[in-house]
Amino acid sequence: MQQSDIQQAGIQQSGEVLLREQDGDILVATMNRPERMNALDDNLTNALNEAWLDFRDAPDLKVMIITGAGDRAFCSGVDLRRNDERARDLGAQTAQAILDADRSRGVRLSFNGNNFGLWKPVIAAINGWCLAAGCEMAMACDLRIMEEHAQMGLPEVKRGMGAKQTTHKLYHLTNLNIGLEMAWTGDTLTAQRAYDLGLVTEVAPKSESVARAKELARRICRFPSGYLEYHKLRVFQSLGLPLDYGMSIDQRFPPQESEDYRTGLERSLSQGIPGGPGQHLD
Amino acid sequence: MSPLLTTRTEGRVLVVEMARPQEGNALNRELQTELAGAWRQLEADEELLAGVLHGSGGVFSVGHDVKELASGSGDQADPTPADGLFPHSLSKPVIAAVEGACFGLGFELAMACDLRVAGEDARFGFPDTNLYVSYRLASALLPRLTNLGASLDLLLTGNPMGASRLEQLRLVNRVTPAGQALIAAMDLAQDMVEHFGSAMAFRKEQIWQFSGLPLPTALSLARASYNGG
Repeated sequence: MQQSDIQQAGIQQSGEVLLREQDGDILVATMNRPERMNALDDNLTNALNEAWLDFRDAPDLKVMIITGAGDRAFCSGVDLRRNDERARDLGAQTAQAILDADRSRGVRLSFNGNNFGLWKPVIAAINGWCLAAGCEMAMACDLRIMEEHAQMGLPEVKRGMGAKQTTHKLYHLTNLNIGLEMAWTGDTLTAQRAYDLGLVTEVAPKSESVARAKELARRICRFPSGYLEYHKLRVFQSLGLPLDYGMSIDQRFPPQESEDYRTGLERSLSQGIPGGPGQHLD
Repeated sequence: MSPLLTTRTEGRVLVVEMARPQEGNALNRELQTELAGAWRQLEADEELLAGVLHGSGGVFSVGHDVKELASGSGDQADPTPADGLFPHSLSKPVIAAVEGACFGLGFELAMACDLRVAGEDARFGFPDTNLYVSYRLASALLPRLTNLGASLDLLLTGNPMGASRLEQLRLVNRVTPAGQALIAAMDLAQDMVEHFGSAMAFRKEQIWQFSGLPLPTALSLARASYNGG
C-alpha cells in the first residue's frame, strides 16, 4: 500500500511498523512487518505500547482489534535479529550473553502483563502464525478469533528459552495441564484445537478474522463503556481470590439513578425480553 | 402455595419449578423470595438431600423482570438479587435442569446451582436487551466454571452460547435431547441421594469455599474438618 493510499483510506500510520485505523468506536491496529512475520523489534514494540496507552485514554474508542499484516503471521514473537545486533554491539560471544543482552536492553511489551490498567476490551484477530511473545500478546487480549490456517504456540523451549509472562495466563485460559503441555513441548495448536480448548472464541475462514472481529466489536459496542470495564475488571479481580471474597467485593453497578441503567431498562421494555414467550433466543 | 413457584418432593429430592411461563419465568421480587424460601425448606428438612430446579413452559428463566423494575418501588425496583436467592451456600446439592432461555439473572441462578443438565436447545448468556446491572456472581464464577476467555466472551459481547459449547467449556455437565433435561437431572439427583446417605457426606461447602484458596491452606482446612467429623 502506498503512503497516499493509506491516507486516503483514513489509515493513520504510527511509524511504519504499526498501522492504525479507526472505525467508529473501534481501533484496528495492524502490525506491519510482514517480511519479518510481524516480529517484534524495538520500533514495533514501542509503537504497540504507545497504541495501547492511546486507546486506553481515548474517550471515543471502546474496543481495539490487534492483527498482523499479510496472511502468513499474526506475530512470530520477538525479532531474534534484535538480540544478534545487541550482542554484536556488546561483543557478546555466547548464547547466554546474547540472552543477557536482550534482557538488559530489550523494550518490553507493556500489554502482555496488563500492568497499566487497560479495562477496555481488546480482540486478537489471529491471521497466521501466532508464536512466543506474539502468542502471549494474543492471550493478553480478551477475545481471540483465529483463522483456520493459523497456529499458536510457545516454541521458546525449542530454543532453550522459557515463555515468561504467559504461564499464569495459560492456566486461566485453559487449565494447568494444557498450560504445562504448551510451555514444555513448544508444540503449536491448530485453530480447531484452540477452539475446542476454549482458547479462542471462533475459527474464521482465511483472511476473515478482522471482519469477524469487527462484527464482534460492534456487538460489544452496544454496551455502555462502564458496563464493559466493570465486568472485565471484576473477572480479573476475582480470579485469584477465595470465592466468597471474590463474589462479595464490590458495589452495585451501575447505580439505579444512572443514565446507563435507565437506558437499559427502557430498551429492554421496548424491545421485549429475549427468550421469553414468542421471542427469539439470540 | 405461591402461584409463581411450585415445589414437590420425589423421594429425598425437592423439585422446584419456576412457574411464570407467560413471563418467561422472569425473576420478579416475589419469585426470588419464594426461591429463597424453597432453599430454606431444602436445608431445614432432614428428609431432603438434594434439589432440582427447573422452569415451566420450556424456558429456564429470561432473567430480571424488567417490567417490575421499571414500574416498581423499593425492593421491586432494585436489581440486586434477593438474599438467599442463590443456592450455592446450602450444604445440599442443587441441580439446574435447563431448557430454552437461561439469561441474565436466570443464568446466574443456574451457575449458583452445583450441576447443570441442559436440553440441546438451551441458550445461556447476557443478551443485548438485558439490563446494565452488575453480574458479580457471574464475574466470579464464570472463570472457575469455564475459563477466562469464555467468561469475557459471555459478559462483554452478550452473545449467548448453546448447551454443547458450554458442555465443551465445562459449564454444563450433561446435554440431553431437547425436553429431556428435567428427567436426566432427576436421575442424577436420585443417584446422588442413593450414594450419599447424609448432606454432610457431599462436603459441598469445602469444594465451594476452597476454590481460590492457596492449596496448602485448603489442604490443612480439609484435614481439620475430617479430624473434626
